[in-house]
Amino acid sequence: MSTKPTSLLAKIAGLVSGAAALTIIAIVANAAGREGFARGAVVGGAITLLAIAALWIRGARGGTAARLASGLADERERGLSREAGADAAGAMIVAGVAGAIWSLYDAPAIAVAGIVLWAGLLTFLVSLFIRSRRG
Amino acid sequence: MRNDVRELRERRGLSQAALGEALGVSRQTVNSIETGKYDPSLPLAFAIAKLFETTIEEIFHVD
Repeated sequence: MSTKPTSLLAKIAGLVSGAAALTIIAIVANAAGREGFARGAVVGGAITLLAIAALWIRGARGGTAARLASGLADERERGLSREAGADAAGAMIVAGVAGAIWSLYDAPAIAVAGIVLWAGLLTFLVSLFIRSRRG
Repeated sequence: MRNDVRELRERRGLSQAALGEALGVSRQTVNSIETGKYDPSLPLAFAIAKLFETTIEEIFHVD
């Protein structure tokens, strides 16, 4: 009834490819003269990778998030994840519309993109937390 | 939907964690099923019925 656990090799590959993606984003941002963006990407990305590694270490002993990250989630937890993903998609659509309107008033594109991404990420995390608490 | 999972589990002296392990689900999911917050899928309902050597209809009841 649960998913196949993520293998150690897949976990290492995930962390390495995440670090590689971070490096590329930082190099491109630096080359474009956006040092602040590059720093933010490196710090935020590193925190995210560390959080994922911590969830993997907790594994089955952890909560819903740890079991989802470790590939040990059961059908109820996968359902919670799908519902949180749907909430996140809805929030991103609303943020996208708001960003499109804001862009009519010369909003910087990077700020609009950031708001859309953060709306999705935060909504997913909050929704997953609330839904897993509700049962 | 009501169910008799808690009663059947306690009759067998199983903890929620032990039942969850036997079914391949988390302790929290067993708790959610017992409290009626989550209705299991058909495969999981069959697994529960098989474990308690009974039928789905004997365990799960429509309100």
